[in-house]
Amino acid sequence: MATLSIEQVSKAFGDTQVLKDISLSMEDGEFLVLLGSSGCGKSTLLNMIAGLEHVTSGLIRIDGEVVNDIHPKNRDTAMVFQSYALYPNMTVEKNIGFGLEMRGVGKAERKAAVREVAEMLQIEHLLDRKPSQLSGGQRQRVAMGRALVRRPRIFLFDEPLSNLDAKLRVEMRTEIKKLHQSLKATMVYVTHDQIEAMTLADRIAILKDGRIQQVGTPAQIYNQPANMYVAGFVGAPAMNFLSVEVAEQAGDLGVVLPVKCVGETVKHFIPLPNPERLQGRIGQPVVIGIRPEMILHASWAAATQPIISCDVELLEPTGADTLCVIELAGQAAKARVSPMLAPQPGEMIELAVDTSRICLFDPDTRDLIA
Amino acid sequence: MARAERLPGATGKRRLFGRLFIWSLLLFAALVYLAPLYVVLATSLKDLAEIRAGALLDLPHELNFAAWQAAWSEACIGVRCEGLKPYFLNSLLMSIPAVIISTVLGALSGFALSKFRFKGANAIFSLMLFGCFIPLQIVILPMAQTLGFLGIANSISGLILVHTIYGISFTTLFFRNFYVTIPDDLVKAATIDGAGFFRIFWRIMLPLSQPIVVVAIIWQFTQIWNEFLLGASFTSGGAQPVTVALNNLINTTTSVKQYNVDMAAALIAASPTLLVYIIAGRYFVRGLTAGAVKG
Repeated sequence: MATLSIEQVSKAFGDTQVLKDISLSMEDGEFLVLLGSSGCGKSTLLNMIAGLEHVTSGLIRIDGEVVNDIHPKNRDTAMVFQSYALYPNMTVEKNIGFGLEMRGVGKAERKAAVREVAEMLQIEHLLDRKPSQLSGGQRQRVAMGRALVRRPRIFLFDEPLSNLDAKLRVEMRTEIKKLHQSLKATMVYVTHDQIEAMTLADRIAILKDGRIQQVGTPAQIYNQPANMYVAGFVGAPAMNFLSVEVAEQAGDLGVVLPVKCVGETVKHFIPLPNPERLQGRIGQPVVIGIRPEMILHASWAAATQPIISCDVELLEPTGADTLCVIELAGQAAKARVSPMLAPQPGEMIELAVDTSRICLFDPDTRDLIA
Repeated sequence: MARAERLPGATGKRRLFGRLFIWSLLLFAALVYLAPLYVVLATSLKDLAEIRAGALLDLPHELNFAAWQAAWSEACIGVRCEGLKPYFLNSLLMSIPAVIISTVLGALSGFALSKFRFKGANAIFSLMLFGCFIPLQIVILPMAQTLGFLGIANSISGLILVHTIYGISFTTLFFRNFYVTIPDDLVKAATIDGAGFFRIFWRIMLPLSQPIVVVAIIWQFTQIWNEFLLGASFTSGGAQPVTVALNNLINTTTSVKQYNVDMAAALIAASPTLLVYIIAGRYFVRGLTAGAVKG
């Protein structure tokens, strides 16, 4: 149970700047996900919180106390590793109890604590086994148990689910969420999987090249991505980015969207809400971000939504939805329709555009135009 | 799927001839290789009359261990006629501590060099590696001075020191290369769990090191036990290791050359290393090829 604050932290390995001016603060009991592709510095940041890496500049505070020079064992954090990092020579019981043993907790007390955690994670029957005799999911639970048993101030997770198969990953994700709800502990979770981030986080911090791109709730990240990187990283299938031109028509501000229909390119005017953000950009290029679910079948659309007719080039059925690949502004774009309404490839389809949630980006800075 | 029996030469006559050729070649090589050992063993079990009769390759008429007895406790080395026994003991007293100390130090420095990458770790490792390539002859003179300075010249402790120092290069190399294959996350996890350098080493790294410990022990024991030059240079008389004593035994002539005693003495001197290989040999191969630790 603790607050964590990271103040203008930078990290360099020799001449390579890995993290640049990172500032974050976490409430007690918050679940923060550090999201980014590999090499963005998210694991380094986690290691710095744990004390496994030195901070080049800036401050890290736990409960207000600067911990930069405090040894990892005295920071009272616990970490779950992607590789699980179970001690191969020890039984599950010893693995879980090792941290307590190092802290001089008595044998009887240790045994009781290990048993309690094992029951919580449903691994009591595995306590006498060695890690090599466990399946991936069981190892994962033991690794969690090792972190839980110490009741640390902050839990750190370093891609804990990446080595599991898809089904198990979803199960464990749910369990981690349950765990967080029942423990109400402060947790920092590193992942490159945006779905994990969306489902688990109270707040997400997206990193790229050692810089924070955006910090916000999953809804903020999804609906108002700060820039095109964030917009493209979060959401599957990815957001469609279309380069279009700003125009004015009948007093409305909007964009001109070229749509391919029956082999011809037809230009549609799409009026956009909050026209003030387009002031002074008439005739200039912008990038609009439309998520596939914002392009829906015309029969499901509200009356005010603009309708476009277009050729369907390809279909990608996913079961729940069918993705139609269409051509907008000269690029392939994806629209999400119900499988019942999906046409055949090559046919024409009438789609509506949900303009209320369209994002606008500056083509030069790639930042959101708010 | 490729099927092994479909490969050319995998079945039929060609396979049979191929196999016959390979096996006979291997058998021949083994015979050539083992012939000297056979001669030594057979001669050690013969008496002098039988040896003089001249049939080198004949089996001994009876199992006669008199020569072994003589070599062990009666043969004259210089003016002392106590056999190899005291020197064999010297070698044990020298090898065992030297092997243990150099293995422990190698394990510790290998651990430090691979898991606690401080500034200059690689440079230090390269320098230690350099030690593997220094010929013994170069260090004899300075080492003799050092031992004299320390007051342990002509003693078993002196030899223990020399062999430990010389061995650290090799054991560090073994352990360092083994420990780089063990995931760093284990050390990180243990650090967060609150264990320090020595506790991580003792509780986590050492229990995982069995294969490489065996390699280090076999390597060091063989090197130290069989070493002759340093033993001959730094000791004389009662402190000599068995290799030097064996040489002296064979060079000590009374009246007739006792080939059977010489052969028995050679086998006695070689037996500990043979024994170590027989007991731990399979771990040796396994340790040399062992890679990462699973789990």
